[in-house]
Amino acid sequence: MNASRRITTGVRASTVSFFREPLNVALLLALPALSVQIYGVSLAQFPDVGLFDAAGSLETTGRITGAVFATGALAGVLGLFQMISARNADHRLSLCGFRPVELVGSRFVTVLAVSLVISAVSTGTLVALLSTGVGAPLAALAGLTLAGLIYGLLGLVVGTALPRELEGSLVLVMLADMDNVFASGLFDIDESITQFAPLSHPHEIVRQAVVDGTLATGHVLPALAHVFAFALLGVGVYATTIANGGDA
Amino acid sequence: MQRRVTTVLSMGAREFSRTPLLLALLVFLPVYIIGVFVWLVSDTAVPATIDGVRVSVSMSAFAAAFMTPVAVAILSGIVGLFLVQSSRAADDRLRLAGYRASELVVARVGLLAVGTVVAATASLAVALFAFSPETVAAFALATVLCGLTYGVLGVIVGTVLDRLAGVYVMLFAPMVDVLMFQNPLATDSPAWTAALPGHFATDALVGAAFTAGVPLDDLAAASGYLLVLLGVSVLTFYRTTAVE
Repeated sequence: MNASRRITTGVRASTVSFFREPLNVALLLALPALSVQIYGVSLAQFPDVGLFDAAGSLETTGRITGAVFATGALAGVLGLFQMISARNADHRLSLCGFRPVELVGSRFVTVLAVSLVISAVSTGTLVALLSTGVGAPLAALAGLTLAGLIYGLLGLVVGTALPRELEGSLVLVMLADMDNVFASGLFDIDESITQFAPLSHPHEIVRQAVVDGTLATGHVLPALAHVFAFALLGVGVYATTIANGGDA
Repeated sequence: MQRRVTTVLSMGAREFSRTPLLLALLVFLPVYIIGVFVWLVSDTAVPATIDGVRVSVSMSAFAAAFMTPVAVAILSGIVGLFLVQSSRAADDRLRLAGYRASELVVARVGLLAVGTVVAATASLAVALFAFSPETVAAFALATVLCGLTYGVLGVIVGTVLDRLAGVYVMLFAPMVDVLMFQNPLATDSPAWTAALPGHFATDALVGAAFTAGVPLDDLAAASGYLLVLLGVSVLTFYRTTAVE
């Protein structure tokens, strides 16, 4: 079996195991929409008197924050559980001749596919709910996909380095929640610090796409750098653990 | 009954003590979430609505007070979820052996309380380092009540949903409820947000942090809410582990 065929087989197996659970599919479709709506409603209850450092209306900022958070967090949790649940199987596959880069590559492609689905749902919800519309829907979709990819890869890294469901979930949930607060731009926090929050660049891409109708080209490269860094980290940690028999 | 509950509780505590990484995370994560937030926000005065009165509080004190229930609710919710998930097989067998659903839920919630107290203690240590609540004891009690409320909610979610779906739900629920809908900086909260799990405990916590009196009404209401959730958790647990 050649490398591309092995990756295709891995992707198909991971995707089928995820979509086999109807509840997973339902949550994947419902939660982004729910998150966009809830974040919009919740921020609309705050007085728009300079309490927060938002560029546009608080409701719009809330909906954008909800979309970015839902996409990132859902992809992150999926990446985490993918790595933990497939740990022993992957070790056996590596003994059968699968290379670590092929195994982690198949997980990566699965996360990318699911991120695209979540991003599409989130973009559709933004278009439907924002009274002002979305200036550049494709740019918003790209920003949300980047958020999904970054957190999907972060989930893969956490799932590999911390292969226990409870502990891994605690770390990922805390990272996602805090990252979202920093990336939202709602609080007056120094940009030299918030730029290191993984979701900050995708958030800015989505914000500019929604509010200004343009692609925030200055944020694309840093977002891709996060993707690249987490991908490298993921392959490195994964190759090490598989070589050690699947134990971190 | 008491002996059986104690046995399950002590076995669970022993399992807990064998996972030092979990205990370390329960201590470290509140320090991270509260400490970083307090460190990063600017120290300006913000207007908050407490007991219907508009008061001015410093942003760093507000962040320390308000991120405390957020951190404890998130941690306890996830711990509650996995506590019931990981013990499901054992609990099914214990039910067959004659344990009642209420005994098992009381034992699991007892263990959850241990985790909540660990997380709450770490959170309070950071919060008290950053600001001084008006009534420390009531502030601590409200923090634990908020954690337990979300912990029991995690138990209910863990009983009816699988792990992946459960983590999805517990990822969103405490953040949206406590941080967004119970936020005293808001002036136009929809009436239905008063029915959310974090409402009474967060009201009690904010009152204890920034007003002189002890918010007994809110503490009593938060305890009542917790008891109702506990009843719901026993019912759902009974249904899912019912012996044929």
